[in-house]
Amino acid sequence: MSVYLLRRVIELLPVLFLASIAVFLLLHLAPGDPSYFIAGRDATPEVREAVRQRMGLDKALHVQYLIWLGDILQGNLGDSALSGQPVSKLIWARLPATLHLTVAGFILTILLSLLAGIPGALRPNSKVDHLLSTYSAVAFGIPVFWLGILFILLFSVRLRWLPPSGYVSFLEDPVRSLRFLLMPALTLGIANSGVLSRFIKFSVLETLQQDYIRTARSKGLAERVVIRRHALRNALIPVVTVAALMVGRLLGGAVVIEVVFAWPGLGRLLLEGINNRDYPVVQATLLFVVLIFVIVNLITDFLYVYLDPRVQLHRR
Amino acid sequence: MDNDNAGRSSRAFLKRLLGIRSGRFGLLLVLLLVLLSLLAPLAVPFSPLEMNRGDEFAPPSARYIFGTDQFGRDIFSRVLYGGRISLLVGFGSIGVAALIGVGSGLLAGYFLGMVDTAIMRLWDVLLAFPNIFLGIAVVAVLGPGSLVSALAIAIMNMPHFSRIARAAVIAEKQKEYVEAARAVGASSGRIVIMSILPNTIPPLLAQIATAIPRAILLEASLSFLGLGTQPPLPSWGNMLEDSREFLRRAPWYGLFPGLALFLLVLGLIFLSNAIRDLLDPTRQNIE
Repeated sequence: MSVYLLRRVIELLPVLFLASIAVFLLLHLAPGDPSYFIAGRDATPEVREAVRQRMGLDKALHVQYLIWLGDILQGNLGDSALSGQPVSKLIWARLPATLHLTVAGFILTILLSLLAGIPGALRPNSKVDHLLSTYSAVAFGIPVFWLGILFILLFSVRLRWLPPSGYVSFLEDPVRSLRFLLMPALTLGIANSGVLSRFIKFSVLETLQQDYIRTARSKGLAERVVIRRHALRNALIPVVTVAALMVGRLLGGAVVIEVVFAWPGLGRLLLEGINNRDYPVVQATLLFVVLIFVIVNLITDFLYVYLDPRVQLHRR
Repeated sequence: MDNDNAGRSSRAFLKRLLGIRSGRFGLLLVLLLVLLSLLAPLAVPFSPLEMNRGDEFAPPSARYIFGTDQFGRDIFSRVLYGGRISLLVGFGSIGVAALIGVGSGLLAGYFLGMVDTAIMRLWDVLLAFPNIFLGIAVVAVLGPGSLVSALAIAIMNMPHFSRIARAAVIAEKQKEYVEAARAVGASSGRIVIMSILPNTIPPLLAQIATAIPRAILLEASLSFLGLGTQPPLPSWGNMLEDSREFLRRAPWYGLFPGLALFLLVLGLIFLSNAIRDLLDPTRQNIE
């Protein structure tokens, strides 16, 4: 097992390496003088010259890349072109809000998907099945940001139950935090449950056709035990692999939802960076997202091997 | 004669598609929205850019079916015109993605070796970026706009098409008919295009059908984030972004562009599910 996992880690390194080159090149592919992007639009010639010196902008491209990568590996993500603050500080400040949103969104995704996926598989073609299938299709097709707007229209504008925007840390004031968090997280959860619930349904359906289920039934186990102990457990293993896909969608969805609910997270930081042409912020945030995405993919692989002993070293 | 054959089999396919409930429903919804968008210049009562002074934030009425926005522009007209951008970007970007993706996949699968490694590594890197972020990266370089967002969507879809084509070539290459073609002296290009390509069509069609609704959603998302279609041109995404400020005063503004987008995407999803069922008989057992 450890050999397989080690190989997966090694396989990921070139991808990360190439992705970092892509992010590095953003600055140089964009039309204009990179020293402006880094030092800011109203920087004096002296300041820009200093930037040029420090980042080696007069040197060959690969040397510049190595300087940039070296800085990043040492934890120096550069300074914002707009505010001059260290980008690492900006990311650190925005991270908690995004974590609140993605963690709550992830929990709701799983919960809603299990609720919408399993009953239909246990009673195929029943009324419940049709109802839940419709839910999955709607959840899959509904634009995240529109769902968010509908929630605001219903819960904030009409019923006045929840605030349309704002954020408070859960650690500071759990009750107020949840009031702010509920709509964004529910939006994220519903939107992502469309895919996952369908996947869960098919996985359970397929498992129920396996021989060991027939064996379990024929040895006289109660149907409840067959389903809980044999069917669901096995059916949920492949679901873990889809979690990686979910995290990608979750991060992407979070960017959009942060805009809908004016949520002060990483997605908004990235968009502000784009709008201000603040390249250090854009580069660092993108790199950060890719890193998280790749690491989550890796964790998923680990879990998969751990949960299903049949997956052996020679997989793939 | 070949044409005749293709005509007959596509007619037969359409007939079978209409035999499935989700196929009928999806096709109806999509055709309706496509027609309304195409006929927008004839169907709309106002120009999508026309500002009707004094009619700002007019609620839905006989004059303005979907109401007006903060400049008194007719939302119904803007929704229909917005549909054209969604459809154009959705279909166009996937068309380009399929063309380049399949081409590169055929090359990779046929020649293998260095070509294969180079192409597949490129796709690995693209796949390391979650979709929206790849879009953001492309916009960071080229600046916002409809065309740039279409390009971004095309780029992020290429890996999937490429992988499908590559896998198909590798599978088909082993088969006897390819060997037979080679034995009679056909060139590599001829073998790939005449013998192998037709066999990759079913999985590619399925991929196209799945990718288009996603592309349309993504275009709307990018426009919503201010990265895609730029105002005053109407797109469903940028209208919804605009509506956010005025939800209390003009709830209808947040309602109709999203409804149009949702119905189009839902129709396309139903259609793609039906198409995939038809192309892959094993799927029917589970549905």
